[in-house]
Amino acid sequence: MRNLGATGFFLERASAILLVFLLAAHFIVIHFQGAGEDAWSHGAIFLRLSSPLWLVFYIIFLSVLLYHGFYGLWGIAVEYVRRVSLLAAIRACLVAVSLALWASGIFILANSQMLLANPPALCYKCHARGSIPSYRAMRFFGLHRPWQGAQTERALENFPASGKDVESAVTDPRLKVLSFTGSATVGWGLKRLACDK
Amino acid sequence: MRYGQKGAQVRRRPGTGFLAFILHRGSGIILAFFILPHLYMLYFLKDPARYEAIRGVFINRMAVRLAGAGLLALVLAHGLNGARVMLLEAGAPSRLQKALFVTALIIGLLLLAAGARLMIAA
Repeated sequence: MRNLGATGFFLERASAILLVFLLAAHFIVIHFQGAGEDAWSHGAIFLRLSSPLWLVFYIIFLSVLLYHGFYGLWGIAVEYVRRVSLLAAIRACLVAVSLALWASGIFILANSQMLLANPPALCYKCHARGSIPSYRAMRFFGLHRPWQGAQTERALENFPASGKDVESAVTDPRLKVLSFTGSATVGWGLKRLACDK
Repeated sequence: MRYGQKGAQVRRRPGTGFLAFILHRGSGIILAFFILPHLYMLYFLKDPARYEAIRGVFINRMAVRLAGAGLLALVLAHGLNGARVMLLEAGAPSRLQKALFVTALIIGLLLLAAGARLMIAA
């Protein structure tokens, strides 16, 4: 490859060696668990992303993959394109696309961290989506009472409410199933309230 | 296939070197462009229901599972050919290039058989 520079060439080789290990780990963890397995389910991905090690793994994987892939495309362009101006345009396009893809990947990872830190609450009655603090704010101003008018075939998920509101919600006959994760005291209290669920 | 200077009448049968070059280049280009749809799917992670709906399409269709095995084949073809090129660059005798290609092909087919079995299995 001409005009690519020794540093770029060696980085291409180094990224190739690194990719062998990164891709092997990716395929073993994600794709070799069987097509129907949960390794790439939403929950499993978020469980992995809750670990800083996996987060660092994905950032390195994305960066190395994009560098290797787009440097390779640049190498092909250098081999076939003779016009310097066209080469400069191709280079600018490749850099822009690779940076956009890198930013998209980082955005997806950052978004997952925000969702992990601040799980979304979903109301199937009004189809509102938002963070738990935003629901708390809506509850504070009396704008959102998610259980009122809820349809029986639907569900409330990540239901943030005060103790009094929870009592009226779990005893509501339209609520057929109750699932709770938290302290034993609150759990047994809810079970007493919703013994017929 | 015509080699050498323009106008030369030398005609050769494409050898293993040419085949390896085409495999390496073709798989590299496809894999580079595959990053885009892969990231696009991960974009839906923000919406669990939509992500799981898309994932359901991948799980439930044999054609998509086979495409996954095809992706593994591309990764193996590119990776093993790359290893072969790096060995030759590092000083391995060029007379061994055909043997290296055949070795890479055998290792690739074995890894593909093992990996594809796991990927296609429900």
